Amino acid sequence: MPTADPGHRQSVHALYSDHHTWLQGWLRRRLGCSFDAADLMQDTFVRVLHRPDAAAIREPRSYLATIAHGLMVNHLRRKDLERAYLQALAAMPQDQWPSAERRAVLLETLDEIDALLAALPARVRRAFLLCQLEGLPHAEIAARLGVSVSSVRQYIARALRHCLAAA
Amino acid sequence: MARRAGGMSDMDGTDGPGRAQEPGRPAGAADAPLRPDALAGAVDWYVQLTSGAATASDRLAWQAWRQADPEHERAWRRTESITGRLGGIPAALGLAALDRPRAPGRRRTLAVLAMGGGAAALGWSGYARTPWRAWTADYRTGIGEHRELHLADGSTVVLNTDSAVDIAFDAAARQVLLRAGEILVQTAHDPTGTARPFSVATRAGRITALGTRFVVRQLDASVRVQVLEGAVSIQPADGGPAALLPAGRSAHFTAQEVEPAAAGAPGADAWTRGMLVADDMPLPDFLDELARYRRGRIGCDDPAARLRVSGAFPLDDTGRALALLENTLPVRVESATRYWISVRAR
Repeated sequence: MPTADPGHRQSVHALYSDHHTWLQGWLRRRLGCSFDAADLMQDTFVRVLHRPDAAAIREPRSYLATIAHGLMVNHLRRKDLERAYLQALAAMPQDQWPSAERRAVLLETLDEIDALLAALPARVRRAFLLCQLEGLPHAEIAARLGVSVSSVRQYIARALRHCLAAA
Repeated sequence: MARRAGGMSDMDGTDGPGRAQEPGRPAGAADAPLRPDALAGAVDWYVQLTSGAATASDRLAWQAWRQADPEHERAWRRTESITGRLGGIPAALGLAALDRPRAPGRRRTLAVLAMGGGAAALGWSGYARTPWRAWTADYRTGIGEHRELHLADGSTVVLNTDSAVDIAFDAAARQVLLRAGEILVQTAHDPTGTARPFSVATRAGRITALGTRFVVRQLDASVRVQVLEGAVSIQPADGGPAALLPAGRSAHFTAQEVEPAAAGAPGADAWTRGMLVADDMPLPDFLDELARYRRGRIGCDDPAARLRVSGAFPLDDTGRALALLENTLPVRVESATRYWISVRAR
């Protein structure tokens, strides 16, 4: 992260004191949870602190809302992922559970991959996951998705291309 | 757990034989963007090696490609770093978490905004988008099949057509996970003398048996339970109040609530004897039931949709069941193909 110069820091400080209450309210109305809203408000200002262009913004509230919105989408995705993960764990016999430490690491790995795959269409993502996690041959993936094998090849290629370009 | 693609095992090691690093020629910085042709090559090789049809000569050609150019090797290493991260995830957990059905991010966020309460909105969608899959189930039946499982404790679980369950017995509990379809449960006293609770977990919640015989069916948006003997207690997944369901009663429940119980349909377990028992059932419902036991579509026209059906019909021969229908109702059964059947009023 670039070190913010003192002037930049000061302008972020002004931005904070003028708008943090408003931003937290904005987030709370959208999330329905004041704890999450407070966290995301802080995260938003941390982002702003690391952006050199923060001093020059003309519409501070719409700028803050744009950053906060991105963080909120990611936050909701993460919560959604956690919920699915915990449900899947609950459906597993407890003696097959990974250790607590391993579970925490797994969740972080899942979050990384989930963020990486989030922008892909569902079918593309599913084909890639069935290939990589289940190790299914393409013909079987094609049967499960109800598409041709050549579509499966295209889906898998698209998913990997996306990951390689983003990595 | 999961089978891995045969071709992938070669990718797991990073120091296998034949992996020539070109000495003295530094590849690009580890995180620099890949050269487009190397990226495309890695993608092509990944697709070929995971296809299930990769040959030994494919693998040799792949090795040669990697050795031909350090940028190829770098592209492949990056592929491995992605597949390696996925490789450490248990398949069932990974699929449930990463392949959870979801609305596109933007639309979902808007839905949350519109509903005001984010937590409540996610609670609902979390239920609607169950991560459970029949794919990884311990036991399953195909369309038109039945299967009877005799469990270690003397209990019996019968799977109806197109159904899937996991059996999870441990020292503390006897648990059946209904992943899809319909089951009949006949519980036995716990032979270990420890009285471990016997329960059926569904995506909408948990049904705990209180010494009993009952049928559970996973429907699109809810779960239906009918108790034949004894009683069960139903606990919705999202923590609403539990409900006690006695013999002879039937109830639908969702993750949020148990709907009011109704009189159970006669013949709720007739399918275990290969019969579909209808008692004044609307014809479209009857055809939907029958369609569960065969491939293809069964539809009816509007005049026929107003008819009602009573009687016992064989499920192991749905063709005969349809022929019986022609004998008992003023309808004609037309089949364009085996998989496309229309019932029309005469």
